[in-house]
Amino acid sequence: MQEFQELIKNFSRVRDYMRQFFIYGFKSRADFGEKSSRTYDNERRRIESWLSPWVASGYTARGKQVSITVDSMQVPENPLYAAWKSKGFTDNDLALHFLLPDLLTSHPQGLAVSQLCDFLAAEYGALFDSQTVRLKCREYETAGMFLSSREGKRVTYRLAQPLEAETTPLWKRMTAALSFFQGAAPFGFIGSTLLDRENASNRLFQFKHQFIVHTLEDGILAQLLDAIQSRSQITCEYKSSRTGRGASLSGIPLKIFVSTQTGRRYLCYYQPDFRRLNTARLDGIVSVTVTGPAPAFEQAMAALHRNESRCWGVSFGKQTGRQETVAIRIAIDEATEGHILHRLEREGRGGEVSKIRDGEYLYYATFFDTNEMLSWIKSFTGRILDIQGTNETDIQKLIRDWERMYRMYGPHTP
Amino acid sequence: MELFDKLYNCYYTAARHILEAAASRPVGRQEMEHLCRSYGFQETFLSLIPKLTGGPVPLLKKEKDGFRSVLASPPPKLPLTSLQKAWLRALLEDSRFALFFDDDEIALLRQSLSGVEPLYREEDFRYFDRFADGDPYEDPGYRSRFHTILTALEEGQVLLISYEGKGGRIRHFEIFPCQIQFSSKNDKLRLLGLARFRGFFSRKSILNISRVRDCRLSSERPAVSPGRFRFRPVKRAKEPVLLSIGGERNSLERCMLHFANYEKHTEYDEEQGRWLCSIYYDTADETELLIDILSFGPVVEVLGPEPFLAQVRERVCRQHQLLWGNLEPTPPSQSGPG
Repeated sequence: MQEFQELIKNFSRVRDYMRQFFIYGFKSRADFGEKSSRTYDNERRRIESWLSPWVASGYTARGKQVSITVDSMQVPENPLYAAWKSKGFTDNDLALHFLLPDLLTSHPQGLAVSQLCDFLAAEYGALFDSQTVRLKCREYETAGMFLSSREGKRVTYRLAQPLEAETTPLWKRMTAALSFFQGAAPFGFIGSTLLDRENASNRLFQFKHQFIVHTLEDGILAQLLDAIQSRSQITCEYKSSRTGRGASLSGIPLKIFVSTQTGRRYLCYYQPDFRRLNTARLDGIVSVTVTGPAPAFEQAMAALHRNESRCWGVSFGKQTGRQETVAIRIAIDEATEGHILHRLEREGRGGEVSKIRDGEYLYYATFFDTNEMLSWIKSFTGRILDIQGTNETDIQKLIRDWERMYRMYGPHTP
Repeated sequence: MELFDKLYNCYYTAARHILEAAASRPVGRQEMEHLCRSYGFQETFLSLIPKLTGGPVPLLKKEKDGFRSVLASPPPKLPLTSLQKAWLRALLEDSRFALFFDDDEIALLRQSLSGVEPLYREEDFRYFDRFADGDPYEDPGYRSRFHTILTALEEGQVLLISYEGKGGRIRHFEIFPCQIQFSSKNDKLRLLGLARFRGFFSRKSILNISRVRDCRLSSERPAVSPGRFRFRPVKRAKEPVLLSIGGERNSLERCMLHFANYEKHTEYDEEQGRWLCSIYYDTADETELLIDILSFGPVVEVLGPEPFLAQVRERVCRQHQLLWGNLEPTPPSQSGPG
């Protein structure tokens, strides 16, 4: 049996397990039916090792349950960044990572591969074949850390220079900025690697409403942003989290829609075959393949710009493209409940708010999909005097929900 | 540019710290294990230490009192990778970046990163449910006040603050800053600190930075350790909210995702065929949690604790009366803001 390793070669392998442990936190080995027991045990042990302070486990009738439980306000950095810092390496990788910069620091003018090999042997007694050293130098050049110069057939490598700003007093302030953006910007784990480089950690900033699990989609996000930037057409392999069924979706990627209230991210893309804008959850996208250039990119982007203000969330409505109107009468005591009025204005996404009479306000809006608004409307439960809308089915669904809630919580409940 | 790259591996970080320590003095196994646990994972020491001390190319050599680095000097700070530069370049276009630097410094950073393509662009994202009244990060006054607050936080100094409270009334505080809180949903920064109360910096306070009208540094540096107030709830509720989730309308996954930023515990009740989810929360966030739970409607049921359940009942009954009863349209008065 192969020895257990904390490090991994393939990110997607652990992505699913981490997500399941984090989001659900109540699944046992039996619930991971797709994989073998040994796979489950290895992945569980790895995640326990990476995230030991945040992993809880317990036994139920269904077996051992493992969960990752984190209050985002109580951690300086997203613990799931551990996944990005877990790529496996060889003994040679580790040795050359330290030996080559050590040599190049004392030879700032640069060294050729043959010289590097000679110095490695002479200074450290380390015998490397020139091909291994050459590949490592090229790898670090590609990563931006080494620079090369060519004189005839001779190529020399040297360390890249620090940024000009790194040598000035402002760089001290960068630690505070990195502390903030590692938690507040897309691809925050890169900020975490920069803090590692500065031997620093965040102690200044606390993050509320931070949904840490979504860092696991950053690899997919990077590929989608590349495709948007290069105006390419893509095909994605997609697995529905609800049904578990796989599907393939194709189109022109245009933008990433982000919910700050759940952390969910969506790809907004245009389907030329159906002449339609659509969205897909990033956490459902398994892989991305660029299939070619997208000549219709600009037209598709223009279509998005025309339509996005009519999206409450991520739905472009039904095929007809018809917009739906909602009008809600809400009871608000202006003297003591200005904050409710303020909620309508700041959360209403452009809907009109007007006063009908003292203590009564109207919220009026037009969007593609009333169904997407229902959760928000229900957050005003206890204040709604009347609701009307052009999508009668959705309005009736809301009314039935309030009836059901009354049966759940009303005075006649046991 | 590879995101998942061994260059960012925490084993390398742990090894760097060990080599730094072993550059000037022998380092024992216990210290190496400690550094592995601090910068790596729980079991990192098991495989990293043998690689550093043995293996085909040992980076540490054994001496009488421990291990010393074979390197000529402590490991240098490595140049930034293209990925790190591209991320920093993207931050330059973020309106919040200017909070940390003045205009000249931003110009220098821009010059340092000229020719670097940003990893992403702000226009690639649409934050569709972010609140519309976010902080004015680019306002010069806001930038200046943030800078003063950040300086006080970094230097452990007291702040003298004029703050616009409810109704526009200006109040004055002496605050010892502990942390700055950011909410992506609210798009706001808040100062968490200890206000002077009866002569001592003891009263936990949260101030919206956008409502700070004036702030100055005091020369006072009280002997308070902010560390014990950092990454802590202001006031944790005594009991968690207990939810029962049936799974209708994908409510289980929606609930788990929606409340993923809270500490929570979920288990399946075989008898009821429902999931029971306990959510631990800060009392300052109770109303927010209440309206978030109400937004799920009948697919999530609150089972307790009783005071929380009473608030749910009150709002639901009130809603029923407003739609089907004969009450005057006056809003609820006892359930707090929300």
